Order: sequence, then C-alpha cells, then structure tokens
Amino acid sequence: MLTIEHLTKSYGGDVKAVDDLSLTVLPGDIYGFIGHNGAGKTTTLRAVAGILSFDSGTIRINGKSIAEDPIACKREMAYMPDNPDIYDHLTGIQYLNFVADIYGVSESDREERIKYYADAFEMTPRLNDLIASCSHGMKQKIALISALIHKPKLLLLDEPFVGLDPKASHTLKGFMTELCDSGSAIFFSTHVLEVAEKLCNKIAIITGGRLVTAGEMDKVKGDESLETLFLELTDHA
Amino acid sequence: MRELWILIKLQLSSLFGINQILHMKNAEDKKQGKRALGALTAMLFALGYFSVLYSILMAEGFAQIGMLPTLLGVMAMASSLLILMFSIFETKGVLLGFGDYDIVMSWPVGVRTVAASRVVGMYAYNFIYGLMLLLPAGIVYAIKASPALWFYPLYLVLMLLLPALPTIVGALLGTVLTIATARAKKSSLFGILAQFVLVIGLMLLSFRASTSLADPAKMAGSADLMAGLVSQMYPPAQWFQDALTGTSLVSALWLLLLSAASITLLLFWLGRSFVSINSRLKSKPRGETFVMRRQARADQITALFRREWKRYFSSSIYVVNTAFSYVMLLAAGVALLVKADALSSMMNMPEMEIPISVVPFVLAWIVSMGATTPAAISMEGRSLWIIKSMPVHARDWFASKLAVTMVLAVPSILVSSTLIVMGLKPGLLDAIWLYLTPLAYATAFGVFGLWLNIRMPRLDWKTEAEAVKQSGSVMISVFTGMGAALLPGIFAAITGSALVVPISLAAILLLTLVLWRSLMRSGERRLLLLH
Repeated sequence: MLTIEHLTKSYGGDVKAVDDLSLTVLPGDIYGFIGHNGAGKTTTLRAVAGILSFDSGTIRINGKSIAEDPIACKREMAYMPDNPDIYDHLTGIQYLNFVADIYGVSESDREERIKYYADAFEMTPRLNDLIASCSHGMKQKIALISALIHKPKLLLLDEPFVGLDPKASHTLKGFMTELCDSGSAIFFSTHVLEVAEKLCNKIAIITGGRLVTAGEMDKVKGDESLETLFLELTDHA
Repeated sequence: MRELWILIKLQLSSLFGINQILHMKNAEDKKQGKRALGALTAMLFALGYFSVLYSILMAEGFAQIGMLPTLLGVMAMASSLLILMFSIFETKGVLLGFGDYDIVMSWPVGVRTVAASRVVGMYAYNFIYGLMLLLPAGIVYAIKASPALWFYPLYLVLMLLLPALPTIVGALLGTVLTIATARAKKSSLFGILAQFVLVIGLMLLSFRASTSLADPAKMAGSADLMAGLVSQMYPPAQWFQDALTGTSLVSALWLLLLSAASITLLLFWLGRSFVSINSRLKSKPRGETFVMRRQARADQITALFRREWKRYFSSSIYVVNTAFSYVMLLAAGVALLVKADALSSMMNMPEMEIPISVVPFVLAWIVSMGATTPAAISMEGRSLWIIKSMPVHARDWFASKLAVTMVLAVPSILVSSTLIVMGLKPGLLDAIWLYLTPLAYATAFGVFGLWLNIRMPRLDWKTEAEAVKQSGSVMISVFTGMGAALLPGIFAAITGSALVVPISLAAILLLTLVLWRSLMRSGERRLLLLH
C-alpha cells in the first residue's frame, strides 16, 4: 500500500529532518509512527501526502510514485494534519460536500457516509454552522469525516487524538479498525503510546530523522511496554 | 511601560513580514522571502517616485501663482485621507478581532496596555503610508523654498503627529462597522456594502477637492479660495502648513493637542470596551440545526470555483479592494452615456478633447486594478494543505481563481462598454476596441496576478488585510496595470494613431499566453513548494 525507500529531506543546511528512512505499510495495517517533537514524523507524513517535496528516495502508493504521479496517488489516500485549519468561511456540510466533489463521491454515498460519521461524532446538528464558529475539536471531527468520506485506501493522520474528547477518541479508534478491516491501511503519528500499543499492529520509532526500529508490534517491543522501549531507544540514539 | 514596549516590539516585528523573512531557515522560503522583500522595496521606490513626481508638478503649479506653501497643506490632506481609508479597513484584524487575541489577553498585562500596543501597530503602518506622500512633498518644498533650519526637525515631528486624527477617526468608523456587521447573518455582505458606501463617500469628497484644485480657472483666479480650500475641508492640514511655513507656531501646538487628545480618547474608550467588543467579535452565530437531506454533486471544476467564489465574498476587505474597480467601471459607463465629455472632466482636463482611442485604455486601467488573483493564493493561508493534499491539478486550481476575476470583470465590461458605445457613438472599429481592450486586460491581469502570487505568496497572515493590501504581488500588479494601460493611452493621446490600440492588444495577448504557459509549466512544482 505504502512503500517508502531511503527518504531524505532537509530544510537547507546540514541537518536532515528525515534521513534515509525506509518502511512499508501493507493493506490492513494500522501503522503507528512515534518519536520526539521534531523527530521527523510530520515531515515524513507530509512528504507521503504529496504536500512537501523531498531531496531523495522514493515514496510509492499502490505502486505509483508520489513524485511522478501525485494526482493518482492522492486519489487513493487522505491526509489530516495535526492542526486541521479548514475553511472558516464554509459551513461544515459545505466543506464536506466540497471534499466529496473533489474525490467524485456519489450523492448516495456521501449522504450515507456523512450521516454515519457525523452521527457517530455527534456532529450532525452542527453541520450548518460556519466552521469559524466551531471549536478545535469540532473542526478536527469535520476534518476526520472529510478524510473518511471517500473511503481512502491509505489514511495518513498526524496526531489524530490530540484535541478530541474521550468519546470521540474511542469512536475514531473504532473507525480506524473498521477501515483497515475493509482492506485499507492507516499510517499515523502519535505521542499517546498506550493508544499506539493497543491499536497498532505495526510500529516505527524515529529519532533525529532516522528510523531506529520498525516492524510488527509484538516483535519490536517483545515483553517490554512500548513506553519502556521508546525511552530506551530514543535515549540511546 | 515595560509591558507596552514588549507588546509594541511584538507588533512591529510583524510589520510587512520583515521579521519572518530575516529568520527564515528553509532555502526555498528564503528565496521567496528575498523576492517579496525586493518587490516591496521596488514598490516603495515606485510609490515614492510617483509621489515625488506629483509633488514636483503640484509645486510648480503652486509656485507659479505664489502659493507654494499650499503644497504642504494639500499633501497633508491627501495623506490624511489615505490613512483614514486604510484605518477603516485595518480596524478589524489589527485593532480588533486579531488572530493572537486569546494568547495576548491571557498574559498579565492590562487591557489598556494591550489596546495601546494595537493602536501603536496601526499607527506605525499609517505613518509609513503617510510618509510616502509627505516625505517627497517636504523635500520638494525644502528645495524650492529653502526654509530655515528649524523647518526640518519640525517637519519630522509634525509628520509623526499627522496620522493621529485620521487613524482615530478611521478606527472609530471601522469599529462601528465591525460591530454593526459582526452578528448579522450575512455579516460579510453587510460589511461589503457599508465599506462601499464609506469608500464611495470618501472618493467623492476627494474628487471634489481634486477637481477644484486642478481647475485652472479657480487656481489662477482666486488665490484666497485656494488657500481657504484646505482649511475648510481639513483644518489640521492647514495647521500643518501654517506651522511649517512659520505663519503660526500656535498651529503646531494645536496639532499636538489634537493628536494627544484624540489618542487619549481612543485609548480611554478602547480600555473600557476592548474586551467586550472582541468577545462579541469572537462569538459567531450558530446555524440552524442540520438535518440530512439530498446532497447535490458537482464536478471538480465547479466545486473549486464555488469554493473560490465563497472565499471571495467571505472577505469584505478583499471584495472592496477589488470589486471597487468594477463599480468605477460601471460609473464611468453611466457618466459617459449621460455626458459624452465626462471623460475630460473626470481626468481633470476639461479644456482638452480626449481622443476616442484613449478610452479603451482608461477602461483597461480600471479593470487591471480589479483582478482578484494577486491575492487569491495568499488568501488560502493556513488552509493551503487542503488543496495540496487533494487530487487536484494546479491548472484547475489556477483556473478557478482566474474564473472569479473573469466572472466579475466580463459582465461589468460588457455593460460599461455598451453604455460608453451608446454615449460616445464611435465607429465600428473603435466600438470593438472598447470591448476587446478591457477584456484582454482583465484576462492578462488575472493571469499576471496568479503568476505573481505563486512567486510571492503571503500565507502566514494574521489579518486578511496583510494578504489583500500589504503583499508585494498586489502592489506590483496594481502598478504594472497602471503602467501597461496608461503608457499606451498617453501615446494614443499624443500621436492620435489608430494603431496604438491593436498593437497594445496584440502585445497584451502575447504576454498573457506567455505567462499562462509559464504558470502551467511550473505551477505544480511551485504549488508543492508553498507552505
């Protein structure tokens, strides 16, 4: 589903934000991506989403290169940044219809999906409100619905649980599992290690732009907790 | 006082985005930043150049009738009017409802201190705008009149004081406008209409003044009338003039008192109402409870255009800044239908017969200022990630932005040109040029705006005014439009050649094609580099 090979990105100067990073996400994977602040998680996610250029390496989504065929790649995925700044001048429903139009979602599918996800996030009655009047969490819920509306094959989420209330976090975890059960894959960054440990089947730890470990959760962490492993690896890196 | 200084420093650090440019680390950002800074410097020079030219021409005219000091009064009045207009637009965003309100108000700093820092920020911008008119006028006056040494320090002090009153009046008008429209259901529409009324009112006022000043009969015939005009219309401008020409040093005191009193009044009022007004602005009305009904589907291009159209009309400053040109275009059409010689009087040249071949260029100049595209990419702001992450070709994104300009421009041009054709009754070829020239310029400046804005976007704005009014791409577009329309227009007026219009049209069309091709070639890459 997603193959990253030798990805390198620097923002000018000698320091590399991401340095020779390689990993593979398969259909059905819920792949957690953890690391300190500034470790290179967001840079990697943005490069995969096709919104940030990179210096070297390849990123393939379903075999297609994001650098060579970005439109085809973007059709199959959805991305949500850590701070979802969405269009303040639109209402929630206008925004969701705009996203559905861009991805070519049929009328019946969009109605069904908006209702399904918005009801679950308890957002339906507020979809006529201007996004400018929504709280951070509500904006995040709208951004999440918009990311799920076209049933992406690959879902990229940057810190999706930050700002969500406990019930919405629980709902989101359910949606993530549901999406991956249907054959899609999720690659997401998080600082909430307990969530990553319970939710993900695969995990990658990045520090200083370099991947220090990656693979199936059970094999990577062994008998240790994810927190212990994370602290060990990042302290010694 | 220490807190005030810290907040002022914070405010001034965002002045024209210079601090961000100085501290950029990313190589591409640095390149873009340098380009923006270069453009800004070039524009300041261009503005300065026009201002110097205008001052010299006016000084020559006034000197001939022995009224050189009036130059100072007239320029003081003009700069005050400019500051008044900017202040009205900037109130929402700079003074009230600014992006970092929550964090600033959470600090252990008094409300009056925060309000004062915002006023200083606004004052700083206005001082720079005023400087662009007053500095050249002062230099030209000093060269011509060789005043005593005290003129120079006093001039600096008075230049600093002059923005006070228009800033305060503009802030009050802007505040009333902001409060009146904040809770309205169609708040941006009300805002747009109210700003249009205000700006048209101010334009009519300045138009009346400039026609009186430019009327040679009045200028030569009645020196007293001329001298009285400035004092009647705006006494502080007269005080400015009197103080600097040594007629009355008490005038300097008056100006000082008026400035101090108006700032104190504003600070007192803001100190009392700052929190309540901002709280009011922060609370947005809730929509009706949503019930799922049939959702209509649109194709990608239509969806992009609709989004762009809604974005445009959601920002009153964006609309007023651009659509005003189309209002002017229609007004010109009506004026020329009613009175065929209106063009001569509009251009302050009643004694001169304007050839018909100049009219298309006047229309072209007006439409070139109405292009929405020089700010269209900047207006994406922090939401740019949405388009970048979507399966959307850059060409479709550009086309949706260009379409907004064209949807506004084409009907206005068709109506206006038809009215002008009816009024002036030109020959067939001239009539065709009256339609084709503004249409070609609207397309050209629509494309040029995108070409500029993708190269020098301002995406980190905290207020829409920064993207719409203070970005290099907007300023370059406006000045290039002026040059591209007025130069051939002047050439047509001087030579009377019928070839000027078709040759200019061919050049403009060629340039449009070149720019569009350049956009298509590098658009995807440049879009990827934006963040």
